[in-house]
Amino acid sequence: MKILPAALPLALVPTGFGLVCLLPGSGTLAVLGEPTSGAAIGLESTPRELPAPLLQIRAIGSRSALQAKSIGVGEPVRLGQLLSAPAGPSSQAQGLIELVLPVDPLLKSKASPEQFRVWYDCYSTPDLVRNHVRLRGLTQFLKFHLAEDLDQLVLEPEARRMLADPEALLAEIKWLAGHLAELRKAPFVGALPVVVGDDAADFERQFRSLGLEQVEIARAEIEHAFRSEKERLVEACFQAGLYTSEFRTRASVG
Amino acid sequence: MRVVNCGDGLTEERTVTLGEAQYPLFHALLRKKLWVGKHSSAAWKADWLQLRKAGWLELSDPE
Repeated sequence: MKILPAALPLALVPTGFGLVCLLPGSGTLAVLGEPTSGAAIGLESTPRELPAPLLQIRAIGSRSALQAKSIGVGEPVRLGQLLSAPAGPSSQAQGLIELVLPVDPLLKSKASPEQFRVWYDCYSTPDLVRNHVRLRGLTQFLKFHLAEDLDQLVLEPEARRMLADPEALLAEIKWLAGHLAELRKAPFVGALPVVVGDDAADFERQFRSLGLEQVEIARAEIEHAFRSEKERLVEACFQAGLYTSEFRTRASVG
Repeated sequence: MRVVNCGDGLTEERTVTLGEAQYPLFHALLRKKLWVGKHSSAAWKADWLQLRKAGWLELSDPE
């Protein structure tokens, strides 16, 4: 945990779910914990050590120190609203990002592929897809608002913890993308059962509950399963002589 | 269908018929494939997005 120097121009906003505060001109980016929890996650780096996204945010924060804005995840939140907002459950109404998975591995950017695999094997493909989409959404959110006068981000604790280690965040997104690509190649790994005796109504109900990206995965899995089974059966039938001869013709020369 | 060289100067087109009674898994997969294909078409996705925009679906954004 990093103790911030008291002399820095630091503004604590008691939103109940913490904030990311950029300190104009200080060369410091601080990720603060919940005011009521007493637990804080700090990051202080020189510009050379900061990863590119955070470095850009810091620079923008310095440029717009006199026109501070607060931007909440989902909907823009004005600084005045935050200052007057009571801490606690009311913060849930601001459309915060909800992550499916714990983010502890994100703080271990040097985790091996095996460690990531063990971690993620506990989750279903839809959960992996959902988390991947949300992680990408978080990075896109940051990139989008880089063009704005960004001084403060109001984030839920999990997202705040991810931002404390952007290298790990990017590594996780990259690893997840590769892992999902591997899963797409393998048959029968989806949430939807593709075995004999499935209740059709249950299958359709599950399918209708999926997101668009999950739909694509489910469709690919089912088509893959269908092709595999078709090839297996056709080959077995030919090998066993279970075929019909419909047309005989003279073989072409050559 | 598979074209097989019979070795006697002729080729033969051989066809396999996979009946549902003998191959229920294949037909179950076929039904699912057709159903999923129908429910993941471009028109279906457009409806899905419209429903989501209207607030009827609370799912992750496919970007």
